[in-house]
Amino acid sequence: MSALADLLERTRRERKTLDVYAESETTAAAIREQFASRNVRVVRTAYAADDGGEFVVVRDADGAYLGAIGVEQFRRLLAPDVRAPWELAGTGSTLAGVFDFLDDTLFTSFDRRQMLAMSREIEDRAWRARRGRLYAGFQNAEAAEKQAEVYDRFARDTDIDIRMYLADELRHEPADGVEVVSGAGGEIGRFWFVIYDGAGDDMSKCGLIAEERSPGQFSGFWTYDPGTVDEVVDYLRSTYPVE
Amino acid sequence: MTDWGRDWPTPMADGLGNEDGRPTNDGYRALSNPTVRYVLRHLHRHPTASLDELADVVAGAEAAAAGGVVDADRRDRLRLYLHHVTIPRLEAVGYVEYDLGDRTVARIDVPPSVYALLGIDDEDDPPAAEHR
Repeated sequence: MSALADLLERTRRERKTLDVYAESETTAAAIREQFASRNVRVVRTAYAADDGGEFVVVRDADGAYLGAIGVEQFRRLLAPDVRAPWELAGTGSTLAGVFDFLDDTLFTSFDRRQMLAMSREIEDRAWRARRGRLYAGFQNAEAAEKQAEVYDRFARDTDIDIRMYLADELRHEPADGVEVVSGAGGEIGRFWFVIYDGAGDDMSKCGLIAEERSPGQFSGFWTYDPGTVDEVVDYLRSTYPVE
Repeated sequence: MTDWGRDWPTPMADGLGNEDGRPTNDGYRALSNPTVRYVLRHLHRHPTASLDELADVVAGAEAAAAGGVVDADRRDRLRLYLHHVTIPRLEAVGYVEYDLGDRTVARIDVPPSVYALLGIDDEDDPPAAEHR
């Protein structure tokens, strides 16, 4: 089993409950669709909420309270706006709250748009720090081309080094400061990942890792855990050296 | 946040409603406190609830109102506030009964007019918890 698949499996073992406080089943059903799995339970507690007053409580395996967020905010994760990292910086991302709230929680069926929005959250943290290294995996050259503008601007305007991983061969000329590992095939073609090494600062490390389980449907997690980030970075560097 | 705890008046014999069932000014004042509203909203669906359940509800409702995340530390402070301030006040006016032994709150007599003010308008009154 590859290290990326192994990490997913470990996250899958962490049991959590999303308790949706709402008047009707509708809201809980939408959240269940994207998070319910063997290890994430989505339940509903009847609550006579006023307009905009529904919320989600996250609990650990023992039922203890971990955090809460309003359903309105949660919805932004289900249908996010995707904006460039330099547009997010300083404005307070609309997803930041939900991002902080659900780290290390397995999601089961994110689409490309949601994956892109969550990738932007990682890139935003790197953009603000302006140093360190970003590791980004692309399933193919086409996906890499779509993000070329973002990564070229990182290379041009910040001290961030970029290392891209592609399953196939890059078709465009990367900017200075962008390293490319191409033809990696295998898991690189199945996984979507964006990892920021925090320029060595444990408090700044973060990453997103997901596997495409069926076309356009991703299962994975994001994390602030420095141990997990280090593990992925070490794995990528030793397994896929730059040509 | 309105500090309902500080300016709460002497409880009245008839709770917060007039004889015709309309809330008095005190009823309005009580409802100006968000914590009171969240507790009453939860108790509407759950005639009895533990202090911990209510703390989760108040934390979650606060997160929704503020558009942010409420962490476990904040939730624990809200639990203390409920225990020391909000629930005793609601008990003093006869809305709820608080069992200090197992830290359970039972809805006894919340005037329908109070729920109407919250926009909760059931055809039938919600069933109250049984008196102990």
